[in-house]
Amino acid sequence: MREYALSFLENAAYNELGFMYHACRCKSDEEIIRLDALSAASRSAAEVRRGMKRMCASFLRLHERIGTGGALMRYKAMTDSGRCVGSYPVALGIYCAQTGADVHRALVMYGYSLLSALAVNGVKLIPLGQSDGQRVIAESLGAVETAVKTAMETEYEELGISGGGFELRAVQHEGLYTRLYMS
Amino acid sequence: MDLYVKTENKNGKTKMTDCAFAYPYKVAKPFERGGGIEIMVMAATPGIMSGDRHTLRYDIGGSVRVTSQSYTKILGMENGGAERNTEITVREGAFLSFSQTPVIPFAKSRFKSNTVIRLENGARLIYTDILCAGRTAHGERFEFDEYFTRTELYADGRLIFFDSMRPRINGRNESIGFFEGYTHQGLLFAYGAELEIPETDVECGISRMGELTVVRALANSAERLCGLFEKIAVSIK
Repeated sequence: MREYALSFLENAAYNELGFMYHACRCKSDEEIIRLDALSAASRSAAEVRRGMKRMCASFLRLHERIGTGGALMRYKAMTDSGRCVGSYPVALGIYCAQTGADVHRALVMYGYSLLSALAVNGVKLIPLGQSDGQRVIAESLGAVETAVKTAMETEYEELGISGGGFELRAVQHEGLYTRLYMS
Repeated sequence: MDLYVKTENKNGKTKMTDCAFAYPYKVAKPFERGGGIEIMVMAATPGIMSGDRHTLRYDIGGSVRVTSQSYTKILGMENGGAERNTEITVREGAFLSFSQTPVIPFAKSRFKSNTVIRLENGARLIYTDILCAGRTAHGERFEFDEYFTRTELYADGRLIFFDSMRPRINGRNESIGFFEGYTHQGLLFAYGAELEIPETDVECGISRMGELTVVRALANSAERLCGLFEKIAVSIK
């Protein structure tokens, strides 16, 4: 599980965290559209693409309800109209930029939430005990920092680098009888 | 431009209507196959060397299969690096099967590759890419200095699939999520083509998103991945 978490975080620097960081730095809707398309297209598994789109749609709906405006709602309009696909890390990056949040701290929080979700999956599926899951999280916190540092140094052309094994397993997951669910 | 190939559908028959190449590339005379043509691209060189900057362009009409003669070997480099840029356009209603032979990056090699594929309305495609960890028979694994590829697929002007590989020195290449102890990684993607994975014991999976199908695989030999992809390619409806 710890090995998996370390690999996942190394890969996340060029994917989830990298896309969020670059979305923070976008200066125009055109840049957002380009980033959104790259984020969606870089996933091999249909299930992962659908999941990312749904998480993004929920996030945008929530912010519409609580009255968030600005670039995030422009992104919602672009996903509603089909100009954008809808990428959760891109939406997080836009929100981070428009609220003026500290980018490093926001990335660490996102990295932590990814790690935490991963540990929960491990606890359910392997299965691990609750304290084993907590230990994996605690032992991987340094890797979250490393991944965030890498993400903040990532060039645009490095985004979407795939871990072939992750992509293969995500594709295989679609046909499994025993499956993860999204709660 | 180091290689340029243009094919067209002329009165229901596919013809290679233009072709130009510079050393080290050569294009064999196309031969008819399954209602279309097969074009073999050859390279008269022991491999890709430092300083190579190759630009390849394919403009495809009709029904075409592009193959190459031997594995792409990226030779060790004292300094510098090599780069290859490939642009493929598949014209309206055309079909392209682009079967690249496996790539072997030798120890101390540095290589970057960009491939952009544009599909026009009604175009169909099957594309394969196989990467070896190095000269594995010599016990060489992930000893290259840089191997960085980006592949973009556009349909009707929209980016619909993107793959990028960059195994890193001292990275977690052998670990779970990456090569997972295997030495070869295979990617096949298709657009507008129905395909199935045949009965196989190769570690692989398939995902479908509308017109797009993606197959991923890991193995310990290039032959096994080539064999699997060849079977998939012939099963296309």
